This record gives sequence, structure tokens and C-alpha cells, in this order.
Amino acid sequence: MGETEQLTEAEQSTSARSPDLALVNIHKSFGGVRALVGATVECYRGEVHGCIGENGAGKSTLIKILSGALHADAGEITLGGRLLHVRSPHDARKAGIRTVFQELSLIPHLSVAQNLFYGAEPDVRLGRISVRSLRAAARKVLAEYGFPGISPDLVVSRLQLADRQILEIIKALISKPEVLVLDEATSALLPKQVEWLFKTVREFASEGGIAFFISHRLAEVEALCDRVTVLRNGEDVGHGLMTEMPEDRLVELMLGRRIERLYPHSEPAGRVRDEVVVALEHFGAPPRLHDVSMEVRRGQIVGIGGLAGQGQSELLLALYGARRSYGQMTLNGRQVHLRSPSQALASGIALVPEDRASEGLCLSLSVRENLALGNLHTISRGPLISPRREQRLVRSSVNSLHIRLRSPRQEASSLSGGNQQKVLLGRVLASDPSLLLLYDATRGVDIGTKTDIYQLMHDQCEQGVAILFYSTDASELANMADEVLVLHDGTIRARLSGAELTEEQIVAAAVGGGKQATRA
Amino acid sequence: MQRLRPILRHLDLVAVMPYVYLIALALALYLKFPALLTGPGRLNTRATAVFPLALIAFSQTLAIATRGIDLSVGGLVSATTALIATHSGAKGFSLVLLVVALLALGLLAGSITGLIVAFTRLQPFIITLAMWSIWDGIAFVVLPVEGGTAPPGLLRLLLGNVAGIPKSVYGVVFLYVAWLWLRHTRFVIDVKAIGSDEARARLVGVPVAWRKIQVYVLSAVFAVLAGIYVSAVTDSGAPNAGDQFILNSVACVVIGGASIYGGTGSVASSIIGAFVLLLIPDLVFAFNLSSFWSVFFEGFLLLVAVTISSVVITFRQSGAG
Repeated sequence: MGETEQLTEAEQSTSARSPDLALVNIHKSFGGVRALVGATVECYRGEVHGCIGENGAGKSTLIKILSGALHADAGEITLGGRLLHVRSPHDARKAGIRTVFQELSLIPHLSVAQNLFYGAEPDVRLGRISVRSLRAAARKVLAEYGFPGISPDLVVSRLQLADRQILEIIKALISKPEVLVLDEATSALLPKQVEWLFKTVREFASEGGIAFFISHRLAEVEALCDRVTVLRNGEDVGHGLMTEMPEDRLVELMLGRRIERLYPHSEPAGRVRDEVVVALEHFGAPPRLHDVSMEVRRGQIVGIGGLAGQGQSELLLALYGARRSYGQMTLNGRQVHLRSPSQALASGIALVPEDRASEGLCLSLSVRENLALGNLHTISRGPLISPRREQRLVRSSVNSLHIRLRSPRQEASSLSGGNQQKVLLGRVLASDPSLLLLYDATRGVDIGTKTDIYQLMHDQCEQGVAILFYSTDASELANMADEVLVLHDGTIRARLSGAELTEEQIVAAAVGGGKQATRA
Repeated sequence: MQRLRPILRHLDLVAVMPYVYLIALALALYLKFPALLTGPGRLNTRATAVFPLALIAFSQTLAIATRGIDLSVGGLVSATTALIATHSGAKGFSLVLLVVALLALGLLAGSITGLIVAFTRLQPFIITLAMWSIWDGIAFVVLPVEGGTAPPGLLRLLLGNVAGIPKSVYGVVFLYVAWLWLRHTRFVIDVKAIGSDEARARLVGVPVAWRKIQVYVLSAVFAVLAGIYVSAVTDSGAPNAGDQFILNSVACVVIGGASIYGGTGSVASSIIGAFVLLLIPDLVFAFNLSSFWSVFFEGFLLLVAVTISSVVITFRQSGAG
């Protein structure tokens, strides 16, 4: 007979119930690529259900099917025991499903209030919306959810990314949905805002809602979710209560193999050389970077930390020549003043920008074209592009970065977030930079791709490339960087290295405590 | 600079600029040749010229806000004047019937354009360019040479004064005020959403296809109305009567501060843009230049307007982050 495990009380009650939301045996293919091959997810009311999986495991596809943005080829969706026919976003909304997408759905030119209440404005007469009641309703809602500072009349394109994400979440909640789906909802949020999100989602679930939470950040899924389903290669490979799924089990299910550690091991002494690649002296860039003095050596990884909006964006963009700057910048011993990205590229500086969708890739172009862009001078013979060289470039990028795709001709928009990031990296690395700038390069990227990116960073450093990277993930900074500079209000508040370089110190310095920098 | 920033943030420069141009140019004209601005009958002449342009700029603002454009308005104005000129003396003529028939024509024209724009991936520029040629062609077939007359009933109806003020002034004011009410309707919000980000608009539930059809139908109907008015004012028909309205209406929208990429636009500003644009021939005359310089300065003004718009946007972007 063997041992029989005692079911916990929770398990007993829910396993006796049939699921309130079930996606059963969902199949979906895009041309030749099978994105989902019989995935089943079962969620219960009152619970937050987490869904994790590697790059291309099918999570985004599943969400899009649930939200009506895509049709499943086979399989069914039931909600409250009823079979759902979700053929359009409209159908999904009618069924009470609200989704917060990774790529936000706010309309840039409309105001906060207009976006929040689109389709459900409080006072509409003869097709005309009462501006005053709309503004008042928006103000009330924003205050209710804890954000009285956001002005209802502000045009959404002028909001910071984090605020836009918050708005997107509030927008989904105010319509009191039955099902709340969150796709990478925390990727742009500050720690305090993530706490807010968790609290809000838990409240939503405890009031009888069904919350479906997708995130690449395992720590978050572990903290927030009651139940979890793991997807791999288009099907569910494991599910159960969070309390019964330890982290390494989850990772193993996701990857189909054990990984020893997330962060590659590397001895800084071995790879960091003496040569200084870039040195900054009282460097600043309006509006938020005021006075920074630092240097990065060949083979070194310098991390930039701190709360969002303290000048990190200006620092990286100015180093890339995309922003006006003042102060002294020395590159490979020579003083330079970079006025444009093409100048920076020619000088051997490359940047992986914040928003890969709008700043990094041309999503409507093919993968091949994206890889070639920015490297045209290396693959051209005179005024013409050499197809052979282009092909060589594409092949080496795809192989060295393990980019998963059907063909280099496919549109970049059809790739998953992690793969898109790899294409961006491929393009950037093909220009053979001596200084690599990374702006939150692992945002919205799953664990398998993250490991690949970390390994890549180390490989580049071995070859003598200097890396300066900004990350909102303190653990990433602590484990990957040789030295971390925490920015606050446009200056360096703390320089951490060696024994002091810990996650706690980074966070402490970011919010105000901890070791302070002794020199400006 | 720090002191200026809060003021600049609240001041919507883009909305204010058309009025700045208006005041600047009107002032220049007043100082150089006051009679052209305030002389007898000048308001009437000015309003008469502005009204049809304002009508077309009205709908053009909406078309551009959806990231489209309507070039066919020119052809419809021409066809309308041509049809009126050749049918006003016919036996058993009824003005009402004629106007209704013309409006029906506008409805049909707009529906065709709208359906093609809404349900194919063809660019509005190309589609309306083709429609312009078609309607222009019909105008030429109907009335190969400028001529004919307008029905007296029409002249009585549309021209003249009411309570001492030219009817065209009422028309322009009506359009301006109508916008102040309309800009908060779902229709206008949807139109801006479509131009801002069509994919997201669809996701959020905007009836994209339906709105596009509505925009192009409105455009065609307004073009017909403008054509009827032009017919009355010139008391004749011409196969190329509408050509000037195409680029001029786009100029009004640009001077009004709207982006050609869609998502923004204010008819009120476009109407001010119409006034600004039509001040230029007067200024050219006042400064004793040959009338051929008008086109040059209109283009120059457009360049200034677009440059200022983009500077303001860049300034805003670097500030907000």
C-alpha cells in the first residue's frame, strides 16, 4: 500500500470542489509553431493562482486566449461551471474577465480619467460625457486605491511607466471583475507599489474573486499565490498548493532540468583588468542626474541601483549620447563629449534600452532586419548589404544566444518577451562594444533567459568588455556586480563592494539608510 | 527656468499657439493697412471665405485625428458646384430636392470611402486620393468649363445678414461652439483613441471600423455643404472649385496644432487656423507684394507652426520623462 499522504484541510475542501475557472486542454498553434499543446489550468474562487514557466512556455498565449485576444484551436474554458465562448476582448469583458497585460492597454493621448472609465463613464447624456463627473469619479477611485497624487486630467503618455502600470491595474479592478488576470504586472513597479499590488490582489481574492497571476519573478509568485501551475513547452507539467511546492521543485519543473544556481560563478580578480574604459568626473545630465563621478574598468561589471527616477535613466542615456550632458567623460583615456548615439556606437559604446518594444526593436520588422540594424557598416560592401555577411551575423547571434524562433524572417513582434530581449542583445553585441550599457535588461524575462543573459554578461567580461548595468532587482545587483553605485537624487549615495555588497545594503541605501558614500 | 516650469506645465502651449498667430497677424495687418481688417464689408468677405474652409477643416481635423486624411473633399466640392450649376435652371426644379440629392451623394461618397478605409489595410491617403480623382472627374464631365449659375433661392438662403451680422459669421461661430460641446462626446474620444493607438483602442472596446466610417461620411457631407455654399457665393460652378480646400484644410489643422500622426486635434483651433491662413493674402496685399507671394507665405507659416509644435512636444518630453 505504501504511505498515503494526509490531505490538508484546504486541499480537501478544494479538491472536492470543481474549479471555478478552468482552462481545459487548450491547444493553439501559430503556423508551424505549437504554442499550447493541451494545457490545463484550474483556479478557485478566493485564491490567487500563479502561473510560471520559461520563455515561450505558452503563458502569454494562454492569457490572450482567456482575454479573447486569440482563439484557441481546441479546448474549452469554463467559468462557474458554464462553458465560455470567448471570441473577442468584448466577450471576455462581458464574462467578467479583466486582464492587465504586460504590454499595457492605456491609450497614450487620453487622460487618466478617460482611460480609467472608458466605456463606463459615470454621466453620459446624448453620447456626451460629463467632464466634471468623470474627473470627480476618477479622483475618488484614485484616492480609494491609495494614489491621490495622480491627476485625473493628466495625459497618460506623460506618466511614468510605473504609474501607468498602476493605472492599468486600477482600471481592471474598478469594474469589479469575476476574474482578474495579471500578466507580468509587477515588472515596472517599485517595491512599495508591489506591496500595494499584493495587498490589493489578496483583497480581491478574499472578496470572492479569482486572481490569475503570471510572473517571471518566482519570489513574487511564492509570496502572493496560494496555488501554482507550471507550464513548459505548451503544457502544464505540475500544479498544486504553493505551500507544497518548494522553489527548486518549481524551477526544475519549469526548466525540465535542475539548475545549480541562477547566477553564474565568476572570480572578479581573474577578469577585471586595470585599464579604465570609461571614467566620469562630476558628470550630469538634465533633468535628474546632477553630479556623478565613477569609473568602469575592462572586464568589470558595475551595477547602478536606487529607486526609480533618481537619474539612472539619464546616466545610461547620456553615456550613450542620447541625452545632453555636462561634466567630464573620458573614454579609453581620451576626453569625449558624446552628442549622438551613432557617435557612441562608433566609439564602442552600446546600449540595451529600457523599453524593448518601443525603444529597442522595430517590432514590425523581421528578426533578421532587427539584428542587422545598427550593424549595417559591418555587413555591407560599399553601399550594398552583403547577404552572406548578414546571414553569418544572424546565424551567430541566434546560436550564441539560443534564440528560439521559427525563422529569422519572422516578425520580431511574434517572439516572446525573453526572446525579443535576446534579439536586442544580439544586435547590440554584434557591434563589438567595449562598454555595454544595460537598462533593466532582465525585466519581464523568464528565469531560463535570465540565466542565459547573466552567463552572457560574464562571457563578455572575460573578453574584456566593461559592463554598466542598471537593475531594479537588488538580488541581481548583489550577485552580478563587482561594485554597485546606489543613486539618489542625481548623485551617488553609496558605493558598495566586497563584503558590503549585499541585497540588504543596496535596498537600505536606496531608501535612505545604510552606508553612505564618503566621496561625492 | 525653475519658476517658469509650473506655469509652462499648466499652460497648454499647443492650444494657445493658434490664437497667438491670429493676434500677431491681425495686429500686423491692423498696423499696416487697417482698412483691410476693419473696413466696410471686410468682416463679411472674411467670414464668407472662412466658413466653407472651416466646414472642411472641421471634418479634416477628425480624419487626421484618426491618423488618416481625406483628400477627396476637393473632388466633392467641385462635383457639388458642377451639379448645382448644371441643374439649377432645369424644368420642374426644386431646390429642396437638389440639396437632398446632393447630401445623399455625400452620404454615399463618404460611405464608400469609409468602408474601404475601415475594412482594408490601404492607407487613407491613397484611398482618398483616388476618390478625389473620381469626383473631380465627375465634376469635369458634368461641367467642363466654369460657368452656370446658382439657384436664386439658394443665394437668398445662404447670403446676406441676419440682425446686421453676416450669416457666414453665424455659421463659423456655430461650428466653433458646436465643437466645444462635441469634444466630450464618445465619438470624439474614440476618434482620438484610434489615432493614438488603434490596436489598443480595439482592445479597450472602441468600435474602430464604425467610427472610421462615421468620420469619412461626415467629411463627405461637410464637403458637399461647403460646395453648396461656394456655389452660392460664386454664383457659378467650376470643375476645380474644390482643389484649394484640400491642402488648405490640412494647413488649418496643422496651424491649429494637431499632430499629423493622430491622437490629437481641436476643431476650434483648426477654425482659428482658417482665419490665420486667410489673413495671409491680405497681409501680402498690405505689404505691397505681388499676390503670388501668398502661397509662399502660407507655406512659411505652416513651417513655423509645425516647428513650434514639435519644439513644444520635445520640451515636454524631456521634462516629464
